[in-house]
Amino acid sequence: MAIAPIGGGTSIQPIEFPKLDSAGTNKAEGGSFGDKLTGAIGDLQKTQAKSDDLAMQVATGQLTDIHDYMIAANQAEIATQLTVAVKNKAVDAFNQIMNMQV
Amino acid sequence: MTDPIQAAIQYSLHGLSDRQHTTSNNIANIQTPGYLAQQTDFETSLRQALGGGQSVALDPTHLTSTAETNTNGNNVNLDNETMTAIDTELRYQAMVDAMNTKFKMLKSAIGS
Amino acid sequence: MGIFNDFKISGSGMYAYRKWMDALSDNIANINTINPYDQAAFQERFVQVQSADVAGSGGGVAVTSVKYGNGEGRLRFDPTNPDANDQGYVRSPDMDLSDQMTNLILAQRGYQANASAVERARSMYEAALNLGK
Repeated sequence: MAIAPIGGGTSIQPIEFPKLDSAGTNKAEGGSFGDKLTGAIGDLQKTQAKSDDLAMQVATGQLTDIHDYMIAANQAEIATQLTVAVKNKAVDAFNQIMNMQV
Repeated sequence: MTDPIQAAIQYSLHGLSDRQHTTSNNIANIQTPGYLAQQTDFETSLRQALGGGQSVALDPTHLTSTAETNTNGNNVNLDNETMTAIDTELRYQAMVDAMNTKFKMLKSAIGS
Repeated sequence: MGIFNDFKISGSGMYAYRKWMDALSDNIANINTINPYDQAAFQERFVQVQSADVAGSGGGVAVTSVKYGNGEGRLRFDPTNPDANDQGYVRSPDMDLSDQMTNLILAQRGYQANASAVERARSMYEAALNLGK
């Protein structure tokens, strides 16, 4: 009995990697660095507000999953430190530029 | 600094340590004839304060348990008290961590 | 306190098994209680439990009632007993010690199982509280 060959001859498609912009984020290009910094600070406030809200739910005994609060608190803390580090680097860069001999 | 979140965390720490005290008292009196178990409630006043938006001096209230009494008039339930003690301890840890997080975020913003 | 629900559920389990233990101890203590013929025999204590939603935690068990068993008991022929009637019968409880001892072991194991469930839940919550440390 002859074994039928695997039909079709369909080739395997190559994997398409999603295109990222040079910053590695999905944010649109454009907007000054100041806008980006303001956006990051706005996100930080949202993260801190979420952490505060979950902390209040823990305090009043309404939160059922304690890990949700711990994750939000850590995210807020890391986001704060990241924002502060970015701000420091920006200030350093600004000072370096200002100190350049014209 | 009148951050309401910090004030709420501090009040919940106060309420939880008060509950710890009440639970220890109940467990100590587990054989006392006629003793009715006491319970601490601070969540109700905290919820009202968070929702109402007025700044009020908050105090935990003490309620007497209405559970049925056994033959010598004592109504302390050891299993409930043990569970309350563990729950209070873990929530105290969570609230201490919340306060630490707040301080760390403020310090990293200042110290930069 | 809706936050650590597992403790309320296991706590209700421990309470139910403790109540059962109390009832079984009562039965075992009275396993040889002889009553006169014209009185009811010692009635076996049963604890009735039902799964319930304990204080909004989503589970647990509640002790609904304590029931009493057969009051007729077993008639025992013992004319030398001062409580015997004219035919020499007295009433002994309608219970077997072997059943009661088996149940005692089950109650103890149930209590221990709930207690260890509490310990496991507690280490899980502590692990969550140590996130990011």
